[in-house]
Amino acid sequence: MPFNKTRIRLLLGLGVILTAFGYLFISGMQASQVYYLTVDEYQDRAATLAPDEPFRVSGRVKPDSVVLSDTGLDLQFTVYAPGHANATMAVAYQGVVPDTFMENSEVVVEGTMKNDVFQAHTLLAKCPSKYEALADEEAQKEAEAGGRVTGSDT
Amino acid sequence: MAEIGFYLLYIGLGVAALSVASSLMGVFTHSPSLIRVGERGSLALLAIVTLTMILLARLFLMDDFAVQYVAEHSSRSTPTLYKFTALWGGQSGSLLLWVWIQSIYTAAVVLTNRRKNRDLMPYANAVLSGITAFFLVTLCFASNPFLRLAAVPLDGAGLNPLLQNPMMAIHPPTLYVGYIGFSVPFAFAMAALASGRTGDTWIRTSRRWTLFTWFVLGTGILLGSWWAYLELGWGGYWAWDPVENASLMPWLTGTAYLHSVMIQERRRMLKVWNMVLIAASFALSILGTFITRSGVISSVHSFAQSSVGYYFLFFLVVIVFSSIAMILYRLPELSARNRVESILSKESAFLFNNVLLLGITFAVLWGTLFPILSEWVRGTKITVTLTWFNHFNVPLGLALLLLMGIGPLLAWRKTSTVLLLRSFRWPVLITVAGSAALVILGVRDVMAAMSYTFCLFVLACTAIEVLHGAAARRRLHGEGLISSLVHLVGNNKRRYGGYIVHVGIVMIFLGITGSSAFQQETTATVKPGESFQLGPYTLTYQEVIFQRTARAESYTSRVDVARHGTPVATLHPAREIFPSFRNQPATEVDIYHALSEDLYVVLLTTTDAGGATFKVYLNPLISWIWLGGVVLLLGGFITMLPDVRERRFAYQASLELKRVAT
Repeated sequence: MPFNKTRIRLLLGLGVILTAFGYLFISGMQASQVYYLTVDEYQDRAATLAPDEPFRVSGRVKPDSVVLSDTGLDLQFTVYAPGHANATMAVAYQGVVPDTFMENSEVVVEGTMKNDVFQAHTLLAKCPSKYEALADEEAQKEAEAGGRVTGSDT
Repeated sequence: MAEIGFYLLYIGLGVAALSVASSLMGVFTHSPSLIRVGERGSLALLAIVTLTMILLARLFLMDDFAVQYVAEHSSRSTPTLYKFTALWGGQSGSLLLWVWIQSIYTAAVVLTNRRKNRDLMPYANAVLSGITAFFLVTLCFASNPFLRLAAVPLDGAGLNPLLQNPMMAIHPPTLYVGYIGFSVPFAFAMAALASGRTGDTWIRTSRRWTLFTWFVLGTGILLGSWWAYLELGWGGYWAWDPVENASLMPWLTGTAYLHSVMIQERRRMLKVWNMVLIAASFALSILGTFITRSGVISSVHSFAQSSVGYYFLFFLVVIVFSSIAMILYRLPELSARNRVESILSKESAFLFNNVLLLGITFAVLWGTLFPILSEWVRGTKITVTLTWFNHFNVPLGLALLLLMGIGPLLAWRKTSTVLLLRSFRWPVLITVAGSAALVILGVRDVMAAMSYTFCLFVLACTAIEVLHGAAARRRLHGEGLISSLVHLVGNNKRRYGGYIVHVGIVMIFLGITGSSAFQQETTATVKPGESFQLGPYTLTYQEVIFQRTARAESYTSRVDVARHGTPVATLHPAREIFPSFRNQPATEVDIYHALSEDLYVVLLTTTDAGGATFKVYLNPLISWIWLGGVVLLLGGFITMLPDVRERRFAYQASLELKRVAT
């Protein structure tokens, strides 16, 4: 295969682009990796995390734990891991609360731990029962309770 | 009735399998009648699936809560429109919609191609029917929408009010039509490989299908981000959520394909590459479905964590390996007859365009899959933050933008230095002047300044290119400026439609740059009559009105908006609560749209004393995203229109065919 001028230039161009990819890849990964833990995993790992290391936690909103300020901007709640009775975590969040945030809804928060309260800068709550997640559970509970699927009066 | 639907799906599966088998048998035994059986099978399949769709729709309209799927997604009080949309509001119904769209595509391909493309059609039909059969397998064995409940409930669970939005009727089907459409060029590519007719026939046959798919998927992505912007209340439109990423990836590889096929058509190069791109686009569509339905990747769009996802994973593996195997099988026949002759050529510009598009696709894929990969490799789930996507994609996007200006002005094979200087003289001058103006105007964000500068460069290049074409026409035909432009576009819809798409992309870049680099926000707690300020806007809160209807309780505020002291609008941001659905709240944002910026007002809370707290965003240039989207779609539409050149080409091809036959 002859290495004419065009070929060398093309390879040089590709080389430059790939080098840029490599640089972006490495620097991007260094800047953006965070642990993604469930509440119980966090408890197991808490000791190994640096004090102000950012991470992401998923869990469910504990019923009766939600306190929202009058301005609707300061939110405090507790998340729990289903199936792990003792795994809970207090969360404080300032910002717009998504409509999908409700008791028992699945949330993902990102931030850092400070004085045993997780300071979240982002709060994601899962889109409603679009693909059955909640409806299924409720149907199941209802079915167990009395063989009825209801939603409208719960 | 539910039983009929239940078993019709099995019959459909049988017919699809028959269609695959008889098409393939027909080719191997050279039996036209078997091939015809396969084709009729595909048409029959459409009839069967349509019937099941009608049955399911009827069950919804009749409030037949004995059917589990209906009971879970509808209720007596659900408005009729949303009883329809509830049909694809859940897992199995959306799979049925998928099968229906797939069988429409298959039947349409059969009907439009069975008289031509005799060599490719049996294979293409077998591939398409095979795909339909796969979806029917998941429906029959993992997620049948016609399953009955043991105990019939009095009422259904209803559709979440947040999904009771007209967009719900448009957005998911649009995305599906976009995703599934990639199966058509994929089928033709596989048919080309299987039959050994690896020339351009498959590309020319599937060109319009690919454009259509790309067009519809693009529409779906834009609609989705627009919906997110209007509904979600966080002032943004794109969050690099896995479900969003899943729709973007096949669109990016599809874009790469639409560019690189031009090299194959013109210069008989990149045959393998094009096969890889189209297989990748289809595989990424399936991967997207796997991601969204398996629950392996957490997303704000929640889906059931069900076994259906693993059917898709299996299917994905089959697609990837069979594509690779087929390409390797024909590798010797796919070698290029030409080479890139100069780095200053359209070929090399397209090549770099492909590398960049694939780079972006890779970054999105990596960021999306990273949590799973890290869990497999390291045993701990590690995810990447939004920083990853922006860090990688902003520079690549900018490079792509720059290339979009350069590429169209380069010639095929080699651009002479003289031509190069002549073509870029004006664009470069305009761009330099423009960037100087940006500095004087005080734009200090480097990335944003680069983006604006490149946008200007692309517009200047495109304008010069179009004006050159128009000037030539005016000299030759003595036409006026407007009529020469219209004829120019009309005579080469593919090329100039493409340029219109480019202009749309530039507008989208402007909007993304403005709204992400210069967004402002504020929060204010105010009493009636009080005002607050954001940028040039003064917002005066007047009152909040409470209303209770059978459906919802709503708090609607009234906010007067003035820009530089001049009243421009009265906005009514509101909050609703749906007592009938677990007190589901819904934020109804209100937006003042202007070309220069959007004022996006969210009502957060109200107090009994009549006070209210607002969150307000100022999103510069954001309307340009949606306007650019419309321009992009218009351009895409133009490229799909019938073209004189193409007809001439097809005619010549048919003559050739006759000559060979006789």
